[in-house]
Amino acid sequence: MKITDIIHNLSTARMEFQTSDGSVLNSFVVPYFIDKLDLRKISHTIALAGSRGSGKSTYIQYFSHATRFDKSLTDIGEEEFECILFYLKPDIAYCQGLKSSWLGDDALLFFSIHASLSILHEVSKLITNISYHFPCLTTSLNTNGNFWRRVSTVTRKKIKNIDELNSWIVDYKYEVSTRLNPVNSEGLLSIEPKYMLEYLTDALRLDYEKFKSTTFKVFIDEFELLNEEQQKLINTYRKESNKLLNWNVAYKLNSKPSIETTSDQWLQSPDDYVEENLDNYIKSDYGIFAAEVFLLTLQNAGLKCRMKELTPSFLGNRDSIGHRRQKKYQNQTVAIIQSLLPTPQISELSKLGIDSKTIQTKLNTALDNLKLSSAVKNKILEDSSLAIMILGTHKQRNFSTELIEKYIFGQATATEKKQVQDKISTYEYNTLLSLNLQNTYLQVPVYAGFDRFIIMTIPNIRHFKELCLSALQQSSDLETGTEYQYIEDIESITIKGMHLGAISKSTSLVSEVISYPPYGNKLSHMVNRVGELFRISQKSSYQTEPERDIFTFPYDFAGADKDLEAFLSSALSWRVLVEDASKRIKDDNQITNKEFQLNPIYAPKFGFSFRKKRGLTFTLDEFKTIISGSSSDFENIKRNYQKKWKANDNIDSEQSENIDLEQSEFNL
Amino acid sequence: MIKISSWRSKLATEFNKEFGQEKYNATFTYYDNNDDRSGWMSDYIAFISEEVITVNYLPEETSLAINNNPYRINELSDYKIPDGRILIDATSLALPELLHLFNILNEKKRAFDVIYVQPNSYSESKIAGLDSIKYFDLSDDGLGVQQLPPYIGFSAESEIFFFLGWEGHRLGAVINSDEFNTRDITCLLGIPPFKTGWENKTLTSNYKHLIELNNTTCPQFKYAGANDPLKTYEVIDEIYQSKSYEEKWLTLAPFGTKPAAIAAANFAVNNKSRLILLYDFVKKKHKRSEGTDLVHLWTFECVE
Repeated sequence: MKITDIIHNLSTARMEFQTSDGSVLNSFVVPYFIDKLDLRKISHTIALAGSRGSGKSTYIQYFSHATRFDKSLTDIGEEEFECILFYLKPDIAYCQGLKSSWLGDDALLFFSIHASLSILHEVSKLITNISYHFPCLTTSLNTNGNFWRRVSTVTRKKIKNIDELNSWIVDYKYEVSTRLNPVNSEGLLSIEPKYMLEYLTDALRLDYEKFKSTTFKVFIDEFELLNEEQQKLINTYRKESNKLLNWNVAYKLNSKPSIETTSDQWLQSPDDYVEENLDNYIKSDYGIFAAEVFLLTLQNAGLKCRMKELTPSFLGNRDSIGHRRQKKYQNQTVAIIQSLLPTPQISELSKLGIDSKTIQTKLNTALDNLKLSSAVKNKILEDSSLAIMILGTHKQRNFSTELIEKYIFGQATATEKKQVQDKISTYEYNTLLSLNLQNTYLQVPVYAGFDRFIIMTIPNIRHFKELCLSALQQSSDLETGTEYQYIEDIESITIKGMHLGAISKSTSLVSEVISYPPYGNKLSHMVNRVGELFRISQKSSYQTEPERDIFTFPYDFAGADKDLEAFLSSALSWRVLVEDASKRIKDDNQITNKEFQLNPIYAPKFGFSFRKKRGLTFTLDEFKTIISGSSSDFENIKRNYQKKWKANDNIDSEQSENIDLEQSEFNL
Repeated sequence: MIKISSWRSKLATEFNKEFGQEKYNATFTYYDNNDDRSGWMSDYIAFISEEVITVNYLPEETSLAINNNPYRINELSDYKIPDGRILIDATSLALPELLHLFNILNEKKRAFDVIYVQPNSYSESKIAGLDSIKYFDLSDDGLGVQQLPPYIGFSAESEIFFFLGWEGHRLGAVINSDEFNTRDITCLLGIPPFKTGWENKTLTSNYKHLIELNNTTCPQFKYAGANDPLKTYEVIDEIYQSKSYEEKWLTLAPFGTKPAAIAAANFAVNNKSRLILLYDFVKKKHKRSEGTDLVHLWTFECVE
């Protein structure tokens, strides 16, 4: 298999494109937290919240009957009948169009019919899947007859088998589709999804012994996108859930779906439901999990893996988790991906930097200005990390040549030694970022490597896969056309390739922001303008605050500015922003309790740090101008910060936009 | 059913002299004062029309505000159209208003004229560099892409026909929303464009999204003159017939030029089944275009 074929097969990183029957068998890696969040075992109703790309849909589908009773399984245990899960993804565009301002009471009628038909379709698929493994189900349903009798009652048509049911669903869907333009609800079936499902699942219990004590769970995905009336109806079902029939929802983290019901008894957490944050679960073992997901993706693209455990069935089997937790297994797995996407240490990046003429010249000038002896200079040049740190900090007022001299000649006390090492730890990576921005033709590959891809994407598996794909697209094998059979044989992507791949993916994701409704333009302004300010800060050669990438603004989030709060909710929901409780409270008068970071995946586009480090406080007016002000208003803000950060001597934003990556100094 | 029975065009500078004698009893418009075209239109309407009626679609209420009186879209037949000759100002009105006005006029079997002024140029985005997000700065955030009542249907079973415009992110919104089936998509390119070379601007504005689409599907392309609603109608009809044969629905996303949107509205009035219309309710920006160029006047008549 050639790299081009692998890339082609991988280019749809999203699982939705890959599953047509709802089963994720062999295309799903069981996450390590599964026992803590077993959707079939949880007794209460839940709301599964996860950020975009965290894998909510796939996670639910893993528990759904489509996967549990997939036809390619050979051995299905009786325990699968304890709980059966229906995964429902409503046709959101259609549902959103069913507005009560247009259809009045018929809006909910059309929604209920749509939901009921989707549920009936799921029930039909359930019976088909189970009958494949347990043919006695068909016989029992036919012999006892309760289920088919009730299906006929619901549909008002004599239905005796699955084929007739499927055919009725298609016909009725068509019938309903003709009733909206012009609106004509006369004679339409008034099917109520919850009561219909209760009625049919009770019949299944009566007709088939294995269903006798089954809990049926319904999961409605993309719940936040249903309109308010529709959410209220589903919430009523959630409130009325019981052990036999249990209604659950999934939505984007930070979206704010309604908790109202059709009565005055609203949903209350934790009495009526518990919100489970999928992101928090994913974060704990994200690195190894992401590695496994990508290796599985490569296998599904047609490659094999020499490590014999790493098969789709092993990764998709929850019984393997014990083995997967073993250090040896994890080291071997990570080694495969590290071989493909090696992570250069920061000191290695510094070494690469020092090898470039541009940095050598800068360093020599800096060392000359410090009036250091040749012996000291030579010693400094032997230690790339130290040299890069000095280059980044020598203009600071507290910079001490004496301390450096003591350090390099081994005369520093333990405290002094730690002082220098701390400074290296704080400024080395920061200086490399700055040097990249200050020098058009310099590209130290600061974003390269599996470990950095992990930090940039946590907890977004989709972004991780896209970064890997983007790195693969930089593979030198594209030209050679080498054929591969095993993942382990693929030649490592060069660190320059990974770096460029990260910048390319980051740039593409930044340009996607404008299309995130309903605040696309404002979100795009925020990302590009805040990104530009952080870039300016990072580019400045005189930095008191290295790796500035967090911001906050004085606002108490108490509802005074509803538009601003709605905008921020949308930004968080799309994960354009990442929110954290403020750890930088400077005094008692500080009213804000939140701080924000642009999604770290956007950092490579602008050239600043993806690591959560230092912060910046905007005034509220500044922040509002950033999101909705004119270009000239933002230019004023930009100029003020350039001045404040003494950056006007070397700020040339256009210059960095035009970096010719092919001409960068490194051909690694 | 409505159809275009005549099409006349003149430069804005000569239009008044040529057609200024054709008076109208009422003109449907929306005063937006966004650009030079708005100024030209308001002067022209003041000159040729006895009555000016403002129209504004209210998406949250699913109603059409006619002279600030809201009419729910299924009560539009209650609206009494003034007697005499009717003109619709398509320069200021967006797809939803055009669609519902066309529907009312069709229902009442009234002939009408539609006027549209082409601009000399559109406002370019001030952000420089190859990586600028937008090449043209024409509109601000809307409500997001939605199906437009009553043209509502199951999106999973339909094929999108997307009219490419100069704001690529509007195509991006359809791709990124996860709510529309973009695996089967056809794109309309306005060729010949309003001005020579403008087709390149359409492609430049959309190329990133077209590449993205190319990863998952193979978008088809259709071509019709950017200011030619007749040819655009033909192309829509061709695709619609082909989808009907496959028993599929067609989703029209008329996010391109206004004459193409006029064709989409015209088509929707004549074909109510298996048809979905999408719109994103973007807000037009002040000074989004400059100058006035050709003015088109289409006469619509009702046919059986």
